[in-house]
Amino acid sequence: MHDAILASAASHHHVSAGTTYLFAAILVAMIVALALEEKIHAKKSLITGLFAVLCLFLGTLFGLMPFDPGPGELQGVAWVQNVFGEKIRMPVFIPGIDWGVIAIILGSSLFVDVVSKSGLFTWIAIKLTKISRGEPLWLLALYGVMTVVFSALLNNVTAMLIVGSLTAVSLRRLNRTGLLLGFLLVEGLLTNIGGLLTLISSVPNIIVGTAAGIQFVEFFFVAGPYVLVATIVTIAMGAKRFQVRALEPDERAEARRLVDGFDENDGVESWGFFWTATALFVLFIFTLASTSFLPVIKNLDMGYVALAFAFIILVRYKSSVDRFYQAVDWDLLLFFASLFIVINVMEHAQVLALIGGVLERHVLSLGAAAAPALLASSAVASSVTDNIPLAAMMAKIIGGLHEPAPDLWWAVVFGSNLGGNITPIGSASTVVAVTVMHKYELEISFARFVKLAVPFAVVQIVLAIAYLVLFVS
Amino acid sequence: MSKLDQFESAFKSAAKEQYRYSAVTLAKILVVTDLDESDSMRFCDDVKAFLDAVQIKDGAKWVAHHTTPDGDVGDLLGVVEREQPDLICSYRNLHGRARHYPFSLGAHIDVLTQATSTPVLLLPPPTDEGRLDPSCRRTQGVLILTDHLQGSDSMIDYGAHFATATGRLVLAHLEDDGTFERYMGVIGKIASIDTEDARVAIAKQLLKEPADYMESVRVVLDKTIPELSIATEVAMGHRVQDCVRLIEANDIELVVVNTKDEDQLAMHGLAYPLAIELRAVPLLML
Repeated sequence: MHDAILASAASHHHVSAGTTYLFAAILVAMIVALALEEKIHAKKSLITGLFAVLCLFLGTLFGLMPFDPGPGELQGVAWVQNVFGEKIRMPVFIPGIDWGVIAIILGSSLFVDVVSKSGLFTWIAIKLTKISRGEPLWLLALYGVMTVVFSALLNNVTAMLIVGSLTAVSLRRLNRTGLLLGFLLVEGLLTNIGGLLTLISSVPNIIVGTAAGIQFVEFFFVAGPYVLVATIVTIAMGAKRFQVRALEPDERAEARRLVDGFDENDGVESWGFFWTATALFVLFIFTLASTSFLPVIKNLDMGYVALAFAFIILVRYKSSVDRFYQAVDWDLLLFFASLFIVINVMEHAQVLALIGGVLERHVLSLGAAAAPALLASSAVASSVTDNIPLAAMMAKIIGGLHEPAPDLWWAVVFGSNLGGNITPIGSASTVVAVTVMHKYELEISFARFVKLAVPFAVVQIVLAIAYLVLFVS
Repeated sequence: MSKLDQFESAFKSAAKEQYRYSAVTLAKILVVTDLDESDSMRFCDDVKAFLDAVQIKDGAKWVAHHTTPDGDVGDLLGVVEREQPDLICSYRNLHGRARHYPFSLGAHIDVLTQATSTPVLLLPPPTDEGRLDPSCRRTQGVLILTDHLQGSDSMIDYGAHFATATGRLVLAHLEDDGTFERYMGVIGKIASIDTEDARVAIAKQLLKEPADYMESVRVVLDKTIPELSIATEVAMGHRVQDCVRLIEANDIELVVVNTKDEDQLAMHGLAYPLAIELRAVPLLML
């Protein structure tokens, strides 16, 4: 079965203004609920799942959903057509989900989880710690770079988990726990910088990049220079703000002895698997980077690549793969699936057209200032709520414009990633950073985080706008 | 188990205790007996011969002190305060009638080991002729019962210092299986913990940490005192019974234990039963 075709192309049917505003209110309510996720103690998947249920019900009730108008045996249901021309019933919400994105996230997370069992990431992290010789300035720089690279190649949450936990352990060992807050904050902010580096580094990149047709290599070459500059600036600002200084000569020997006590080989259970995982990881990145021009693979797309590598490496644990399935972040996957359903209903209810209209009138009409304004507004929006709904919505809206300028896509990519650095709830990785801070009893309230992070975020956003205007446009 | 906890555990496991060698010097050694003066001097000479390895290295000054039946522990502490020795050599139940009953150390030794920071070498009781037990000939085989979490560096330093030039150090860590089984019994009643996984993982980690520490000892001593041969034993077992087994299997002539416990005034939990029961083997108590 290919080219799933909805029973009726009902996406552009007439919808009353009242209905559109009702669904817009539901969308706002969902975004507010997601922003208050921590307060209402509900997981993202449940929030969006409930809204998806409500939207589908109301969408069907108001006749917005693409059910077959009939006549015939499939009247009133949704269907797709297979290669033989047969009509097959299909739940109306299934085609609304971007399965490519789901496949990339599921495959990548499984693959990265198994690779991490090889000890590769902890090996790299400890090696860098030893290279620093326990010098706090070097530690900050190396951990910062490691955060960016891990965020880019794994995902920002895993990067923060690895670097954050290592930071806590190593600074405690070095008797430098006074620096922990500053280190964790800088690392948390750098996860969102690293999240900009490649097409698969963050979910907004995947959603927007896929919608815009940006290839992996192109994405890397456009985002790379900015990531490099923003990383250096953020580390330098962090060192100054948190007074991370070089050690006195008489402190160096002891610091070196303490970090030399780390054994990078401790987490490696099998060197055979370690090297296999390393080779597969390199091959994984290479294949993702070249998906768009590798014969056969280019037809199967990145989701196939991610799942294929996941299954290949799972052979190592062939009798206990269920352990890894259990560890998959089902909350995240169900969140995406239900979010796509909500966005799909919103599209049918003309809510996205409504927002697109507002955007065209107030932002896109600004001419040269449109992309900077979109970047800044995307950053502000994603600082208080999840950047994924924003990216998904904006991808649809910009995709619906007539020949959208390339810098608009990039404005959303930069804005939705960098907005996560303004508040502690702006991105999943800053939430992890705050979790580590709380675990180590560091005083960090919402307001204090914002107070500490805003100067960094402002500089990063200004840099991004300048980069966008000077080089991308 | 959260992923944060998983990574944190991995890094904590990788952060290993490393042995740091510090040279030991024994400039003055005090031998305390409850013998008369002449026997005390002779006993002192016997101890000096037994500790020939130390004498060669340090050329220590030896002081023999014989306590009197009417002298109390306070007097003995006064002598220690005055002489400021680097090592005190004595035996159990000074002036006590319970010397042949293996149930206590006697008040003098109890207090000496805890009230002073000076290491105490606990010797077998003197023979009826007031001589050092003839089984104490040299310190070729030294057993160090490491407690890698507390004071182990010092135990290794002393053990290496007391061993003869071509001696043999046996580094042992015995994880008490009784305690382990008690915790496993509790874990077995908690539905959210997989008992078998817990048993394997906890036992592995309990034994891995001392093994890692011993490896760091081996690396350092191979460089600093290459003539010493080093053997290691890390196992689950009964701390006293298996210690006796190790002593017999390795021809051990001196056992080094840590007696100080930061959380209490009394002797370290492992040291006391060993000091009570290992009456025939010299025990260096740090």
